[in-house]
Amino acid sequence: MKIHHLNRLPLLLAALGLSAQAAPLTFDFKDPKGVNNVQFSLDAPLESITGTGTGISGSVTFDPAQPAATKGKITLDTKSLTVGNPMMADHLRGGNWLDVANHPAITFEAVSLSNVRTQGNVVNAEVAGKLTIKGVTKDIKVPVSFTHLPDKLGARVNDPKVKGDLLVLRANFTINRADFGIQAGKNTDKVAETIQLSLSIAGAAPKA
Amino acid sequence: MPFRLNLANGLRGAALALLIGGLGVWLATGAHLGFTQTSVVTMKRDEITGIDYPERRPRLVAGIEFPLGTAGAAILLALLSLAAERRNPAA
Repeated sequence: MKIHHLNRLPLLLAALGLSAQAAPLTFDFKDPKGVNNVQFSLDAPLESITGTGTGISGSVTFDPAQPAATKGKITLDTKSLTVGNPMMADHLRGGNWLDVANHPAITFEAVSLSNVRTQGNVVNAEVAGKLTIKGVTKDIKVPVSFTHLPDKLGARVNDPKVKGDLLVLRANFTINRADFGIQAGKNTDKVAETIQLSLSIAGAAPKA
Repeated sequence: MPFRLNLANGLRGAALALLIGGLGVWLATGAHLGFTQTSVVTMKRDEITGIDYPERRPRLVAGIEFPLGTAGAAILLALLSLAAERRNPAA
């Protein structure tokens, strides 16, 4: 009888292993390497205004076996947004535009995923969520690609003893600044109403 | 007619130096047709994640307002030199 139970042990361990692998992982998007970034671009008469933001944090719960259940919230520190021209950067952060003193964060909270397509370790989906800019929250849908990199955390932090997975999120989408009360209907001759955003971020889920 | 160092000639010389200097700085930093930038972005790629990320470094890229501004200042100095010459034609 004892031997019979022992025979089942590998099966039990395998089942436990599978269930552990299938469990949702929580990825922390605080990036010590400073690689996570959002790039923005607005058309303007003389030249496009392009800038970057790197102060990204937040967490995403992702299950490779069930990507449609992905949830999470990403935050961008508005003080980290900058452009190459210092006067423009001051305007960008000032009260008339993003008002970073009173609105220190831009957030996106994922509510649901649709049109989920998985190809290898890449999941593409339409993510519906709530985008908050300058205190105004709007429901938007964003096409996002999730790339799951199992056991790559050690390579990323240059320490093979560190175990864990990485999740890379990429999204390109457009918003209208007027929707978020950013100079709505004003200065349209100087700066376009639409803002192109490109997000590339990686989160880490360490394993104990 | 020998060159005499006086206010009018000094102003003209300063105007010329401004004009050449402004144009020279603009050309030397890339003849950028947009606004002046004090930092530039170089795109890099993180090997592990494949993320393309911007690396911002401080660097002056003189914009179109640079030669235009210095040309405006040069015109102003040239006009002042004319005024100085009229006030003191013997100088």
